[in-house]
Amino acid sequence: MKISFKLFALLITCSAYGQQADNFAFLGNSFDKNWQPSSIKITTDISVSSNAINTKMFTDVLVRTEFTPEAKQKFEDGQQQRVNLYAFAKAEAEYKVNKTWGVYANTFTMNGYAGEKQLTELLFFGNAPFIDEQIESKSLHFLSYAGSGFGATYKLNNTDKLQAKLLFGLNALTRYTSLSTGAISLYTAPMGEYIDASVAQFAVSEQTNGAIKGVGLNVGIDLSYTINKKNSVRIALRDVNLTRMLDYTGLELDTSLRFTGIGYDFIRDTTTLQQYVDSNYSPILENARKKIKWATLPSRINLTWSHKLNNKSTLVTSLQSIDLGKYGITGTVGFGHAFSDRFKLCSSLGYGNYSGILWREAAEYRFEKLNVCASVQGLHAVFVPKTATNYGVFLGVTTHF
Amino acid sequence: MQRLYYLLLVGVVFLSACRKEKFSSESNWVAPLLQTKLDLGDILPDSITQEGPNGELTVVFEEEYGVSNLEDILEIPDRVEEIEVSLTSLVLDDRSFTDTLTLLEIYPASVLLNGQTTELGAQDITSNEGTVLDVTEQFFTTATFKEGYIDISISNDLPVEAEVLEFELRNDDDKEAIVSGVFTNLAPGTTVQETYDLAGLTVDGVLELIVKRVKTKASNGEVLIDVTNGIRTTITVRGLKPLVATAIFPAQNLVEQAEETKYDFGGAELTQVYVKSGDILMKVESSIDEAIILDYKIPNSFKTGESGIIEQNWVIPPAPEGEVVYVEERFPIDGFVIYLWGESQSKQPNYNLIYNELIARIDYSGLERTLSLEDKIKIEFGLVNVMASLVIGDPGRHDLSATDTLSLDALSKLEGNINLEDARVDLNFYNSFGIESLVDVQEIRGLNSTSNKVVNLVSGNLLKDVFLERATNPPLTAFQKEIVLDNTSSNLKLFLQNLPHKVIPSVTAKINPNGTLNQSDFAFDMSELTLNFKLTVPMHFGLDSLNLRLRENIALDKEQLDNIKEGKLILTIENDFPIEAGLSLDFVDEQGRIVLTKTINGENKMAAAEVDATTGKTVAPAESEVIIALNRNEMDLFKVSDGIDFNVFFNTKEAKRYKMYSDYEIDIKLGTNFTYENQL
Repeated sequence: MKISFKLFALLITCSAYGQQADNFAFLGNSFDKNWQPSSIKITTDISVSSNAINTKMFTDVLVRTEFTPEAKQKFEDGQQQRVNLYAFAKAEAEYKVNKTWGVYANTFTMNGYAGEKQLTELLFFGNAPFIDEQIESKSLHFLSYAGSGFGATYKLNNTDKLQAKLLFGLNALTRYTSLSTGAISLYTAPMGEYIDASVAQFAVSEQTNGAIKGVGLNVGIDLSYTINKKNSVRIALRDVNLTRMLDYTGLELDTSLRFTGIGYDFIRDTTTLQQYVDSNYSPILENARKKIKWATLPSRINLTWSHKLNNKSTLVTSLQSIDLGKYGITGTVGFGHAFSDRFKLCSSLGYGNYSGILWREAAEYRFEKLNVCASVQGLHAVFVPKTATNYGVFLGVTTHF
Repeated sequence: MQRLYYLLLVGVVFLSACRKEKFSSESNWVAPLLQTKLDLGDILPDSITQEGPNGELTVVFEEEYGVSNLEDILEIPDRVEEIEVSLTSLVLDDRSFTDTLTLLEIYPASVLLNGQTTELGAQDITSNEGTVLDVTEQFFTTATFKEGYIDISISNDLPVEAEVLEFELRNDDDKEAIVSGVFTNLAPGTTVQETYDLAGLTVDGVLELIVKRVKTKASNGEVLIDVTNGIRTTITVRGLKPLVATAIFPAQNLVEQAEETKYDFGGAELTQVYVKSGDILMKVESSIDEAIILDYKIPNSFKTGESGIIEQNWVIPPAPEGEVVYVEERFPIDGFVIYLWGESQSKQPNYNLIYNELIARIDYSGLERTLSLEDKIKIEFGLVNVMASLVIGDPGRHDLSATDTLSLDALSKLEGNINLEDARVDLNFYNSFGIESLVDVQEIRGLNSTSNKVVNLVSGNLLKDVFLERATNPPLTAFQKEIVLDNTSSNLKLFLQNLPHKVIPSVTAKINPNGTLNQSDFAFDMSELTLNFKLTVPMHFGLDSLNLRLRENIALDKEQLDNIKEGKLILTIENDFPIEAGLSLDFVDEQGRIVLTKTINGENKMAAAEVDATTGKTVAPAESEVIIALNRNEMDLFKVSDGIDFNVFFNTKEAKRYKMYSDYEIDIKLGTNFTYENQL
């Protein structure tokens, strides 16, 4: 099967963190365990997961400027009730300053969406295909943000039993859009002469002109606990945050209406159409407008259990949740094998409500002073493209000076 | 190894920096945009449309020309007289004062002989000592006289003859002599009097009387000696006309004026004015140290239903020394009738004259004041702001003209051909003045501003020299005359088919062309001389490419349109009118240049509703769908346009005439089907 795409993907927290006192920084925990001053870790991590976006659509986004008709048709023919989409990209550098402290800097972007399939089609492709059809959705949420952050890392504890690392810093958001609704329904009359719309708990943020949309505090913690010689567990909690939005407003609406067009008298009305619209509809928007002072971005929790099969092989089971499941829960089972003390391979299979079936492969090679890791997710798109709804690539490098 | 590190780093940077052209996804949307209803009221304002019993519409344009207010032709000017007078007639009362120079005072040793009867020897006594006489209370405090006399009367109460009696009367203060004299051979019990002129003299209220010399003869035998008797002096001042005096002044008139004030009414000769509103103005500047009372009246006046004339008095307070008092008062004379005969009706001229009297006086106050002939009082008085409710007299001959323009704005948006029936012009002449008039409608021009074509309304001699009789009163009954112009009496149809945007009548009127009998013409404040021009056009017409032009600005947020790539505007129309319409849209930019034209015609237009031949009304609305498609290029042009010129072309079937009804309307819904590009 022709591989029709090139993807940069990163696999998040595959089985990399189960190793104890090993030499592998990515498929192990050596970077934090050894905490070598003047060492640096640089990572790039990209992933896209959706239960409904098909391979063709992903390919179109990557290499084309628009969707092909086949990709659109495939999406429309899908049987799933809901469309979930989660896309995340992050580039980060962490530097160990001394035996206790380190610093980090990163840049990130995220897009997350969940809604009923028909409504999603309507939002993507317009309401023209849904003339004389009632479109309903129990809920819908969309979040898109981007920004950069920096902060410090602190070695809380580093014993044979327990390693703990604390991360804290600041984020600055350069993009932030959120939309959420409760129940929503839309009906377009056959000739388009009216539209019936009903929304409950509709909330959408409005854009501002400033470059910085918000500033926030960001906290994370990594805990690795060795239960015994064969078993260890790890909890990674990242991006627990609170962001202060700068001059941000949003609209909150609960309404049902039938829109039949703006009633405007072209001849008698002395105001322009724009003024008429502004004067009649602006008050409604003003009433709905609320100040958005605070926002919290999705945090990530990763639980991993590692079981050493032998000196070279490890079984790793992990569970990841984004924003407490709002943007997906993924479970994987992986097998890691160190072919030598320089080369390790890890394979894992899993499933997520956002990602569908998940297959990733990761490899790490250790040079004298350099560790390099690459990971690819979604390889099954090559063999069984129908089942491939998630893609990711990870690249990482560590070294010390 | 180092090379490998660098390659890896470059690779990461390169891969993460790779960008391709932005991805977009097109979506197709259908939505309603606007809805509106049009009826004839949108083109023709409600104020000019009338509805018949069956709902058929008639358009009425109406304008009135002429004089609708008495003030337009007659104004009663303010007439304020100004007089400035000095106190020419200042007087003081005549007064007397008596004092006795006793024997005791003349010859103190006589006290030893008081009460005795003895012979009294001759005496010759001189003295420089005087007796102070305080006549402030009786006479004045001080006065300088222009005129006046002082009588010195000497009575000899002594028992001997006064051979020589020399006296001097002087001001006690500055010892200035007032009068001096010598009396001789004054027998006992006799009186002698001398009069002296006070003109130019200043006399104080405190005087000193000096008897300089008293020479008496010896008594003729024994006489009773009474030291209390002596030379009795009586000082009388009379005929006093001071230049200045500080005194208690008696009541007196300072100013008396009676005159006839002449008014100019621009040629009118009025004999009576019924005052609706107006005031008597009284403005006074006074330097007089006494309260002045002003009495003003117009004897030839009365108030309807009441007794009394116009009269009023004002009290001007005394002016402090060296200062001037200003007083301004107004007395309303609303409701009064004033005769403008002058003082007497029998005396000519007996019109335009108001006889009035003014007196300025002082009352006896009992208070001491300083008055001077240099004191002045300036009085402005007269009638101001007088508005009449009725005037009677001879208005004189006047010529009036009017060329006011009647704008038919409703027609200004129309061009093309319209076939009208049954239009008419009603000219209603109305005269509620008690004055004859002769009105001449010289021409009525109709101007179409778009084509610059003028058509005059021609009606033979119907509008030449229309004589209007005077109104009668009481009760006030106006004279009216009506002239109708229609297709039979004029070229009205041709006039209206020019679609005039402005109608410009040229009207002249001669007021009182034949003169007035017995000065009996009249005019009320609500009297009118008007020509009412009323154009009635039943909405019963046929249309042949009648064009309605409208300009609508579309100052839309261009950013919102950026992502719209192409689309269709869909007009869904329900039309009650028996009129079909094509549409042409010119999209214009900020400079008014046309950037895009879309013409809708052929099958893609608004259909006319079918008319029931029996009732003449449309049976049901005609439904049409008009689609205006804008492809991508046209959409780009639309985005740069600032406004749309709508040109709507109306036709009735074969240009036939149909009646228009008030319930006809066009229901328009504008929807859209457009392609929107989502940038991802």
